[in-house]
This record gives sequence, C-alpha cells and structure tokens, in this order.
Amino acid sequence: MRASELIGRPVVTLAGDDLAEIRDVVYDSERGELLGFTLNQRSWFGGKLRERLTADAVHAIGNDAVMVPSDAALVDAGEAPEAVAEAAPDRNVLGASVLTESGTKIGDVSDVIVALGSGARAVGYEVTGGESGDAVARYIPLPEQRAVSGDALVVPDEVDRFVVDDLAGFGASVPEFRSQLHDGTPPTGRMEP
Amino acid sequence: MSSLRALLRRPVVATDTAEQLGVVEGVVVDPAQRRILAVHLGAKTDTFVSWDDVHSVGSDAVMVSSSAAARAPRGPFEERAAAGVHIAPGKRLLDDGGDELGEVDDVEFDDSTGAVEGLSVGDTTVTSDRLRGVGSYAVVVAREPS
Repeated sequence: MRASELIGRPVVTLAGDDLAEIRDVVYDSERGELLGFTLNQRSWFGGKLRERLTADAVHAIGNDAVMVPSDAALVDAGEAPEAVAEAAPDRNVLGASVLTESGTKIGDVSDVIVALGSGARAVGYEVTGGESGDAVARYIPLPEQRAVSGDALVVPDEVDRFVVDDLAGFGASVPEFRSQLHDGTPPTGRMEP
Repeated sequence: MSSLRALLRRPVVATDTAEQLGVVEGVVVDPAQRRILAVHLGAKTDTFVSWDDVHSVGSDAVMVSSSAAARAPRGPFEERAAAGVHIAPGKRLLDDGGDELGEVDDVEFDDSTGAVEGLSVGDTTVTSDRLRGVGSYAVVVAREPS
C-alpha cells in the first residue's frame, strides 16, 4: 500500500477502539525504514495530537485501519524517539531521482510502499517518469541503497530488473529481489506482475 | 440458541414482582470469555442484570429472577456498555490485520450459559473463538486462518 494512502486511516486497538488517525508517515530515507506516524484527533475537526505511534508499536497495517495492541501504543512526543517526535521535512524522499550505479535514471520517487500485514515496514518506492518519460507509476523494491541525498538515491544496477508496473504483483518481487542481492545468482528475468 | 436481534428491545420482567425493569438495550460481552456477562437495560436508566440472574429468555419477555437483580454498571465491560459501546447489528467488523469484513448482522448465543457461538456477517458466520474486542469503533476478530 502507498504510504500516502495511510493518511487519514484510523488507528484502532485490538479491543476495537479508535484512538487517532494517521496524520503523516515518518520515514527515514537514509536507512530506508518506516519510523512511525504523527497523528490527528479522531473527529471531523480533529487537530494534531501530541502522541506519536512508532513503527515497532504497530500490530498490523491493513486496507482499512492501522491496528495497535492497546492504547499504550501511543506515546507522548516527549517520550518518542526524536526522529518521530520532530518529523524533519528534509528527510523526505519524495521527488528524489532514483539512479542506478551505472547512471540510468529509473524515475522520481512519488511514494513509499508499505507492506500490508504484521508490523509496519517500508518495502519499496513508487517511481514515476524516468527514461520512458511517461507518467505511469512503477514500483521498485526498497534497495540496500548505496547512497542518498535530498536530490537522488543511488541503487544497485540489479534494481532495474525488478521494476514492476503493478502494485499487486509487487509484493512477490520483494523477497526474490532481496535473496538475489544476497546470494548473487543471476535473476531469472523481470518479475511478472 | 438465541439471536441478539430477537433479544433487543424485548421487555425485561422480574418474576418475583412482575415489574418491568426495562427493555434490552444491548448485551455485554467479554471477548476473552466469549460469553454474555450481562444484559444492559435502557428505557428507564442505565441498569444491568447479570446473565446469571436471567431466569429465561422467552419469546415475549426476558425473565429475571428478582427485581433486586437490576443494578448499576459493574466492571469495565459494563461501564463501556453504559457509554454506548455494544456488540450490535450494524457494528463495523474489522480483522486484527486491519481489514474490514463488513458489518455485524447478528450474534448467536446459548440461552442458558450466555456463551457466544458466532457472529453472522452477510452469508458467513465468524466463530466466537476469533473474537478479540468490542470497541467504540469496531468489533475486532482474528484474521481467518489462510
């Protein structure tokens, strides 16, 4: 699921109570990790909440709600890790160009892809543009990126073979991509979505 | 077996005084025990009757052994019911993975023990062993084993 789609989703305990809704996703582009969420109050005119939800306190992310074990999952900004408490805009990866080590531009990051299921993990990027120049979104598995700056992300050349143009087929390509990066066997070809 | 839909709005009458204590506003379920703990009576005041004090669930009235059985809310589940949190038809049903399954249509339970057997949702039944919570936002059940 796109991280941007999580915004406005309710944060619900396993007891069935809605505690908050997602205001923004806090993502560390250097480590390629989802850190947590800032929150809004759960009402039509709800303002910001002081509480934060760190990624490790998430039970599961679903299509309709972010599940937490209990209301103890929300922590005051004063007690949350600084990166989550003070979400720094310069950590934002959106708009950065994705370049392979050999210098091919895959596209520009337009969203972070979050895994559905247990916990809260980032698994890839949505990229648009690139050499084809069109506006169709494509998806790349979150690489063990070589370097990142505010302008660009440099990724291994292998990433290019794992670009898929359909989010539904993307989930399956992530584990294959990771194992391929680690054991060095050549990829069997482009993933079919 | 009884269903929650049949129970709702039914008068609750004490067998010793023949007094109507109220009507069924809802039931209080402990998700861990998968059992109805009490009946929440509305209409007059927020009073509760322990399921153990329910003498019988008849087709026209719920009979309670004594008028003294009606009491103030007791314990966390009853306090929440008094605040309007019930397992009820129309309540959103969410699995613990954060996916919506629909709305609760009805709740099936055993009259004598108050044991919840299952929740009906459309054409399917969610067995009560999957019940995790009854909250202000949703009834939460464990994800169906795949």
